Amino acid sequence: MTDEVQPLRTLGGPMARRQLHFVWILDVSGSMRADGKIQALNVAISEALPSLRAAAQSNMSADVMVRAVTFSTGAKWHCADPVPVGEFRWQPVEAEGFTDMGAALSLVAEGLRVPPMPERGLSPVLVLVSDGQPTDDFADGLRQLLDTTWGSRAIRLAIAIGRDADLSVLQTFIGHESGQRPVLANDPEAIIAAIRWASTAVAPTFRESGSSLAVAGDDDLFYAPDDSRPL
Amino acid sequence: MNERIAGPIAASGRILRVEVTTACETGSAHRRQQRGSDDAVGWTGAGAVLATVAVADGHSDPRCVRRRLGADFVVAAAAALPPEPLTPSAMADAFISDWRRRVDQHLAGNPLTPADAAADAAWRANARMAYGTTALLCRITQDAVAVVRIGDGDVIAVATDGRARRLVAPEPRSDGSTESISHPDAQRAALSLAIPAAAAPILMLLATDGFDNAYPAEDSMLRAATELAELRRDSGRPIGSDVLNRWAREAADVSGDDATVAAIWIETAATGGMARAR
Repeated sequence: MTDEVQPLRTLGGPMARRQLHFVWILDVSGSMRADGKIQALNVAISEALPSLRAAAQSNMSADVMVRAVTFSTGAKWHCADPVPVGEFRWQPVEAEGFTDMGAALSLVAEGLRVPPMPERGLSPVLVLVSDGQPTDDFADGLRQLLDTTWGSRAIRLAIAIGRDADLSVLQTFIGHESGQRPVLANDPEAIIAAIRWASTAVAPTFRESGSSLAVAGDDDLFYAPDDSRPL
Repeated sequence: MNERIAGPIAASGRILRVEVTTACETGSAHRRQQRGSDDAVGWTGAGAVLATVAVADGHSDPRCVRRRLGADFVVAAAAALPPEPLTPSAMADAFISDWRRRVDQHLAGNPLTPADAAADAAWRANARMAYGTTALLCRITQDAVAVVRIGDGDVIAVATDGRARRLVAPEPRSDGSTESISHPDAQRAALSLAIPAAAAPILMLLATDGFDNAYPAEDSMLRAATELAELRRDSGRPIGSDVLNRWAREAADVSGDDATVAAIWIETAATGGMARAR
C-alpha cells in the first residue's frame, strides 16, 4: 500500500492541443481563366495537400485546421468551417468576375474573431493568391483583418500568379517588416511549387524566430482576447 | 528589477516545514525528434533555509545550443545561494551573478563554434545566449517565501482558503519571445516578490509553460494547483511523485513541450495542524 494519493482525473481539467488555422484566400476573378491559371491553382492545392499534412504532422503541438475563401465579384467562404487537415479535400473552384480582394480580407477578418476562434492557439497562416489588382477597397479589408487579434498575429504569405499581379498590394498584405516577399509563379509548375511552399508554413521550422537578440521561448503560442468585447 | 513585498512580516508567523515534490517529462515533440528535455528542476534545503527550489526551461531558439546546460546552471546557482537572509532583489542579483559565472567559466573552457552567420552574430553580441533559459526560483525560510522569475512559466500560490493565483506574472510579449536569464539586462527583467510567513500560501507551484500550453483555458493551471492543495490537505499525506509524473506526462504529450513542475507544500503552525487533524 502506498502513502501517496492519486487524483481521479487530470489535474486542472481536460487538456487539449492548440489549433493552428490555415486559410487559403484565393483570387477566382475572370482573369484567372487565362493561360490555364485557375486549373493550375486547383491542381496545385490538391497536389500540395500531402505537403500540408506532412508539415502539420511535424507540428506535434498543434491541430491544423484548414479553411478557404474565394474572391471575384464579392467574396465567399469556399470552405467555411475549419476542417482538420487530415480530412480536408479540395473542391475545385471556377473563375469569373472582378477582383474584390478587400471583401475577401473583410470576410477572413470575421472568421478570425474570438469567438468563433479560440482564445488560445498558434498564430494562423493566411495565404493570399492573386493574379491581378484589387477592384474594391483593399486597404479597408486589410485594416479590418489587422484589427482582429489573430489577424494581426497571423503569418501572412502571398503568391503572385502571372505578371499582372499587383506586387505592391501583396507586399502590403504580407507586411513590409515581416522579411517575406510575394512569391512569383508564372507557370503551372511554379504555381504548384509556390502553393507547396506556402503549405509548409504550418511547420515549426518555418515559424521559428531568428530575430536580433530576442530569443524564442517555445513556439509562437498566443492568447487572444475576445474580439467582441468592447475596448 | 520589479520587487514586491506582500505586507509586513508578522513576528508570530513562522513556517515550520515544507515538502517538495518534482517531476520532469520530455515533450512529445522532443521525443519524436529524439531530443532530450531542455528543462531542469532541483531543490535543496539546509539550516535556516527550509528549501530552495528552481525550475528552468531552456529556450528552443536554435541559437541557444547549450540551453540544457544553461537550465542545469539555474538549478546549481539556486542551490549555491548564500544561506543568510536576502531581500528578493538581492537574491535575484546573487542568483544571476552566479549563473553568469558558471556560464562564463564553461565558455572559457568550451568555446562556441558557430554553425551559421546568425548564430555567429548573436553570440558575438552575447555569448551567454547559447545557454539561454528561463528561471523560476523559490526560497523558503522560517520567515518568508521569496520568489524570483525570469521569463515565462507559472508561479502559482494557493492560499489557505484554497484560492490560487499567479504571482509575478509578466506582461505577454507579442513577438513570441521570452525574457531570459542570458540577456544582458536579466536583472531588470527579473520579477521578484516576498510573502511573509504569516501570509504564506499552503502550496507553491512552479511549472514550465509545457503545462499551461496543454490546457485550452487560462485558469486551468490555477484549478490544478487548487486541486493539488486539496489532495494534500484532505489526505494528510505528501503529494506523490507519481501524481506529478503522471500529470507531467499528460502535459508533455499534449503540449509537445517539456513539462516540468515543482510543488511545495508549506506548513505553518495553523496549516500544519489542519493537515494533521484530518
